[in-house]
Amino acid sequence: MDTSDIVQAEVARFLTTPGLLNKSKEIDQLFESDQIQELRYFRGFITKVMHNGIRKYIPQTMAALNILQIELEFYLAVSPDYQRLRAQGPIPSEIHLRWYENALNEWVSNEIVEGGTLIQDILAHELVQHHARQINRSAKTHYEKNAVSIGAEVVLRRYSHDLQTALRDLKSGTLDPARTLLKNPMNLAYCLKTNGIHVLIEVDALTARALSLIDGKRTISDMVSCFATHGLQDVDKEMLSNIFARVVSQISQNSEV
Amino acid sequence: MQSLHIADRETAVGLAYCDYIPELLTSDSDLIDYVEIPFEMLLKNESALESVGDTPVVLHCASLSIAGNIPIADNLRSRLGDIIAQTKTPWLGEHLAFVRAQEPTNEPSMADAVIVDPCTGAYNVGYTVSPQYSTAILDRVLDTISKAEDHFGLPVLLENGPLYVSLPGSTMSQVQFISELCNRRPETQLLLDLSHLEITAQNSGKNVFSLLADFPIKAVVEVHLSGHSIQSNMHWDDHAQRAPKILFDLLEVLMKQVSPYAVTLEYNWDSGFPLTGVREDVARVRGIVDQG
Repeated sequence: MDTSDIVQAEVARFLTTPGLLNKSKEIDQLFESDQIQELRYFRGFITKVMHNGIRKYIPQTMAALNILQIELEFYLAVSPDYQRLRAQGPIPSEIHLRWYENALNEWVSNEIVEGGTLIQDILAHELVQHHARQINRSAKTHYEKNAVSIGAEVVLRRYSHDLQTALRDLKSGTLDPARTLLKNPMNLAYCLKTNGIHVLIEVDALTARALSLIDGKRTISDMVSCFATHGLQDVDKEMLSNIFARVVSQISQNSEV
Repeated sequence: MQSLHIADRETAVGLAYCDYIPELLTSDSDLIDYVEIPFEMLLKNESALESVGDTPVVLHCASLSIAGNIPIADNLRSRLGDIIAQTKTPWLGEHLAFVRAQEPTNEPSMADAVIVDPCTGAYNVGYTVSPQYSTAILDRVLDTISKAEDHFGLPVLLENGPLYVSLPGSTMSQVQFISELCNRRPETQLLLDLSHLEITAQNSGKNVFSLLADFPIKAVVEVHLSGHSIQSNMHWDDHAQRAPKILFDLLEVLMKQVSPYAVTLEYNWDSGFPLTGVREDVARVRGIVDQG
């Protein structure tokens, strides 16, 4: 019997079989325990490389996984699920991205992962941008007369970390997990202007609430009533007008994301 | 046999194909001498070939599974032959590795949704795996390489893989295996991946310059450089990173002794790879090969 082929076949089987991630009798017999861990990481590495096709949509997420030294743990953990998905055939990008988001969120919620929630924020950010770029002009909000408009489609997201600092640090190569892991919630408004330029601004909670009321129908008076209904009687027309004017100014001053 | 010189240069400099390449070829028309394109990419979509215009192409491959017991399926081999002819590649770069493997009993345990090769039913890793470095595998590689070169009618370069796990039953090191290959088959030609050599050195606690000194460099036709990253206390291939300084140092040492026909920068995992870095590193490689 050709033992070389047995060894190579067992390695190939381990690397391609979802159910063998944590236990393979044959691999246990062939390898020392530290080598088995190397083999498992290799499986994670192969899974990582197979995600290169979606890297262009989520480059910062992938960079952060790398810098925070949790890359192989993540891809190893999701490799069984990924292999089952891949066995069905070529994976369209949108389906792959959705799968990736679910896989990451599940991994972070099930494991104690240092930096996990930061990675979730970064991924959510990149996916919002990705989807925002796909907004079709014809699908944009139709504005009725007197309805509040700021000249841009807005998507709002609340993050549990100081995302803008984290992304700046990531870009400059100075991402410090110890510093960035400190939670510092922020609201970000993703603004797609009519000329197609995409701008990102940080907004406070009140501004975020005001922006969330823009629906192509509500006038400023309607918005005042909405706030009053929720116990915020101090929010008047002048305050809202100032808020929206400030947002419009921020949008015009901020550069494209 | 056709000349191995590319673009009439003693040592040509090229880039592995990525989405940014077509635009780079337009904006920096004199930057590189060729583009290296994987066979597997062209199988799915030949537009990469069209997008490089008249730029010479070198074909890279990860489908022969040279060290494995499952040869390439007939239809794929036929397509490979077609694409070799279409690209007019001077050689085919292939990995000293296995991609497919099957248990000798021919009764693989296919339970639980494994990823299998659709043509052969073998386990298909979908990635190159450094083989067992043994006499049995050496014999197989010698046989497979000879047959591949006879069949396709051009040199098939063997590329050293990064060593992540040493397979049980190995009786020699990777460099010893490759040296013995060249001793037993002097016409063997090699693709020296300096990143893989560095990764192998790091993961096995060796000095990479010592490995290079023992490597049969006279057989080297092409050289690869790429980045690597350290994760979970191991070194890993990473074509989304720039090559570290040590690889340029190794290239300098190499070029003082031999003149390979081509040096390829593999910056092809990230379509957003910073072009400034690409340009700088191509210039750096040119500086080294022109001096060497």
